[in-house]
Amino acid sequence: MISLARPAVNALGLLTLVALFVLAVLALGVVPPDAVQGDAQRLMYVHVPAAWLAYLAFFVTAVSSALYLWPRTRQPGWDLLAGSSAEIGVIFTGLTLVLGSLWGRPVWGAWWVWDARLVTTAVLFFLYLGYLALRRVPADPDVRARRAAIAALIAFVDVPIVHFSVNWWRTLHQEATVFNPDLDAQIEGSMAWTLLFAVVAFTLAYGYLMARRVQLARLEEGREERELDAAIAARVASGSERTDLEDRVPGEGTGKGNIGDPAVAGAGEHR
Amino acid sequence: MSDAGFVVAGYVITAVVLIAYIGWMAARFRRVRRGLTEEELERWR
Repeated sequence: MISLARPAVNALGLLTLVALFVLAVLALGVVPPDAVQGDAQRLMYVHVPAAWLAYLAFFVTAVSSALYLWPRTRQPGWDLLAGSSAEIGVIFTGLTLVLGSLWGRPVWGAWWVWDARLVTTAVLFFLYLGYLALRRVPADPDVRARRAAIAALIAFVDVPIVHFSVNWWRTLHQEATVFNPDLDAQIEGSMAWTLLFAVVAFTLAYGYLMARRVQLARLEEGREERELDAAIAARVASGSERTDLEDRVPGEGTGKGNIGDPAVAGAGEHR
Repeated sequence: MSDAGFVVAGYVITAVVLIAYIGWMAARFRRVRRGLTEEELERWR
């Protein structure tokens, strides 16, 4: 599996930071306000890329999960990648809901409406929150990974439902601005370029967060394995101590002799 | 709250969430790092 070296991750982080700063300047200071929605429309430059990132993250989770379930490609790394991407996806789905709510209040006059797009997005958020909870249920690592992979594939079914909900049902939420059924972008000029730049900036952020999260997950996995090895070694050692004690001749080796002491260990051999 | 207020709130929340997530990962890394061997730390660097 691909992993970035630390300098590359730091460079990606710096690039992301610059891109997000430029995005804030463009979105808040350069692009004109919308003719209908006014300044509130400026939230589009973070709301839409956040939603895109959630789709991307859950897509990566689904593909990684499928690769884990496929016997020929089964590797623990795919499970690790799936879990890391889902975590980022949940954060950005939550952010999408909050930003949408902030946009909805001045434009619709309500923080929340029981609209198909909003409800299916909320369902997506809770589905993947459940997925993350499922990953924490103690079990054999392979069983846990397989269980999580199946859950991830089931949860991913909601992603196209979220995207097409504005076409399938009559909703208050507007249709997709760019990826609508006719693929006729309803945006142009500096607004279009800024939105495109926002998507690129958020995608860079995803790359950076994923690199950091996967590194952390690998370190944590290594520590868990080491702790498990230590626990097994301690158990084996305590088991052999008990055997030594049982094998010892009554009266011999008691008092001064320690467990593991050749004198004590030898006591059993003379029996 | 004015439209601009909602917009600023949205951008601030986005920044706070990103910073908080990176900070949370850094804190977890510091916790794990305590138990690392020198070799593992070298690999990380």
